[in-house]
Amino acid sequence: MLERVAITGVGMVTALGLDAATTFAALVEGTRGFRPLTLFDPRDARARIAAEVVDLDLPRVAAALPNGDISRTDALAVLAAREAFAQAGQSSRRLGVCVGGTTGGMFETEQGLLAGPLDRIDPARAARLLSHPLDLTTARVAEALGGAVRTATLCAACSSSALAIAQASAWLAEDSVDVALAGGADGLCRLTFFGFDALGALDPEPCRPFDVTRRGLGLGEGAGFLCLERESRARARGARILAWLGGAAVGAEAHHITHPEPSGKRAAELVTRVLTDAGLTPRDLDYVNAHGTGTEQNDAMEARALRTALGAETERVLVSSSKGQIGHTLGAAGALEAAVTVLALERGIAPPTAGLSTPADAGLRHVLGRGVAAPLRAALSCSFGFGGTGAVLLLQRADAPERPRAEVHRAPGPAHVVVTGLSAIAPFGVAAGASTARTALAAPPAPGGGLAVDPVAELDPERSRRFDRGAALLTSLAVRALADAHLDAPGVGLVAGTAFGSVERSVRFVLRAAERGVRRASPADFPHLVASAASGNASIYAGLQGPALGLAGGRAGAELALQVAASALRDGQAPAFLAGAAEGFDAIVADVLGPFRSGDHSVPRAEGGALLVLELANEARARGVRTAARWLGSWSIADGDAWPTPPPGRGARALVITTGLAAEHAAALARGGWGEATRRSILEQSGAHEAVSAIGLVVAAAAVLAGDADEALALNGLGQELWVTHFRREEAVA
Amino acid sequence: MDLLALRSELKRLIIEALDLRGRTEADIDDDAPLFGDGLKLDSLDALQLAVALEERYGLEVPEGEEGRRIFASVSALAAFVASKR
Repeated sequence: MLERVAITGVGMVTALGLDAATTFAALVEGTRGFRPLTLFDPRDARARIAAEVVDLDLPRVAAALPNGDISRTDALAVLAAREAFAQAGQSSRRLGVCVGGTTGGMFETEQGLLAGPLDRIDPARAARLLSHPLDLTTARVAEALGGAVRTATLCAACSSSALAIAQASAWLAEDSVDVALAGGADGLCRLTFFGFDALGALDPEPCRPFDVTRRGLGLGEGAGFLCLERESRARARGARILAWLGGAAVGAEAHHITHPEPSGKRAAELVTRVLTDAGLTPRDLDYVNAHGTGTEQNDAMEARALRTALGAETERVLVSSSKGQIGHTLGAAGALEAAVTVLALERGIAPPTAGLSTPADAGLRHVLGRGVAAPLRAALSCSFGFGGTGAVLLLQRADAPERPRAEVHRAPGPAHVVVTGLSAIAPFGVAAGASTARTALAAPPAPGGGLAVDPVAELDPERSRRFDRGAALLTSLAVRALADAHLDAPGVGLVAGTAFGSVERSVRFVLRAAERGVRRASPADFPHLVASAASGNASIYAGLQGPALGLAGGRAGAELALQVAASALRDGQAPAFLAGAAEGFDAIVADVLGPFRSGDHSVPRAEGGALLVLELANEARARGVRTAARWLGSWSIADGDAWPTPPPGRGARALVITTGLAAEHAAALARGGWGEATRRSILEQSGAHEAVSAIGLVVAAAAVLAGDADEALALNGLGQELWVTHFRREEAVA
Repeated sequence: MDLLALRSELKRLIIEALDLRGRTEADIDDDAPLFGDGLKLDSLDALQLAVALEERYGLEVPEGEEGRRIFASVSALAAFVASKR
């Protein structure tokens, strides 16, 4: 039976305080954290306030780290992560760190950008965005905690860190880690402040969630982390259990990049599902910490969703939003508000919705003014983001009795992960299905990195307006991969590696706002600048309703995406996932990074990407799939893990596809029993970019699916580490 | 500038500012609704268009009901721009 997930530590840094207890006490008092902005000049923006963190001693946080240069976001993350970890009193363990975020080091990049002329882009100043990608925050946290065996950096706009918590929970369930530090961090920056203001989404006054006079959101910053572990381990070491993570329901709406679907039916489904999965009904629920941003669209939708899902219990269940006090902390919101909910359960106090005096939406039982003491047995924490991906987390008080989880109907047979479809776009061509391998292996070297097909021209112009190239590529790939696997879209999730997001467009947006004013900024560009814009847009276009996530993983984005998707699949978060990576041409990336470098080699920079369709073997078989490529794992050799088991005996046709392979690794490969395998590099045909290993993965899997090989490895030796992925052919999956 | 030329100019502005790839002036009827039906623009487009109008003509489009009337069609928009000159 699946073990319960215990929460043994909580860490929070917000405008209300630098630790969890201080913030919670202030929340209960009804204290509001909004102040005039000091971090940067709001210029002509309509809003001039934010819930800024005060007294953050960046140099002091930096001094305690091995490498002193950290961003504001990193510092917030490290502080909160340390607090959670320390509270949990962890000793030796296999630690996983899963972080959600949206802006990373953007504030520091802006400082650099604005130190020079505003009317043109100075690549050298923009370079910082490339040297401080979103996943650097995760690396800093892992470093601060003494190292992690597994990490992931997820971006799904405002639901990023709630999804990180759901992902970490899956890691515990499958036993890939013993302890997980899951959460998120986002520091304030001009990009998000000017962006939301240009959309008219910011309230010039401190926000008023659910109030009749609500006028928009109030931005905040902060970091929140939960320390999670399996019940048996927590009890064995005598840890204090603060609360239980009873479950997580995640999914997307396939509706619009900024507007939630007004009926709230998807959100209501998530609420119902998280309760039902845990064997509970609305009668067992006592409190909901809502997303409650203060925008008309979100609050109205969310109120409808809660009334639908809670039914008659709507009159009894307490509801509040913390955003009236800590602001909307974007990537950190999911985790910070989950932390608030944990403390609410632990102390038996439901915090209020500050800024709310006259509720607009009939029926909900709002907590007004100050926190109210009440027995809280179970609570929900809701997060709904741009691009429509939402998460509802279930938290339960520490004394909750163990209850059998709902019966999950599983198809008969083994439930390992298999590949049932794929697609790739590269200079060598566009392919879906088995033909991919043959096309790639037979193609001439990439001429100037130009793609065989224009992904932008392929899409319906009305539905793909303002997509940048990365989004267009990913969308094309998603549509093809789904078709190749003969899968219907509903329920399918997406995890897509993206190394840098939309660099040029973000820089252009900030410079234009700084030079010409926020009123002249380009509002319609802003929703496309988040690192999750490509996955959000692709999921909406393709009609996907499973969770849609961007993953920041540099040159191993595709492999990390596979890992994340596989964990989510095993955890039952969706019946299938599209997983891989795509990089579209970006002028600043090309200018600053130039040709792609790996060791001594310099390969022309290209664009492209690839996606694999992942399912559980038993479910694929149940819907009639006869041939699949079993995914035996993706891992980094630098971790000290072994080489993959060599192909069994003679006669097994083995293929090794490489995107960069150093001489010493080639030698180790031979020693590891793979010397007889056919080895091909696809780098010359694909050109190189941060997502090229995705193409290698797809070529390897395609060869297996087509019957050209029984076993295949995809080796990605482009970064410091060597990533290995192993596929094996399976017929009539038993 | 006469109203005919202004309508033409506004159509070009709409196509450019809103990234309506593949659309030409001929596709945009003077009196067809811009939002909802017709071109099927949304509120993000309305914001973007308001910024483009301010940039080109130095005009601020009022919010609310009045703004919606002005954005009802190219003809309505042209009448508004002409009236401010």
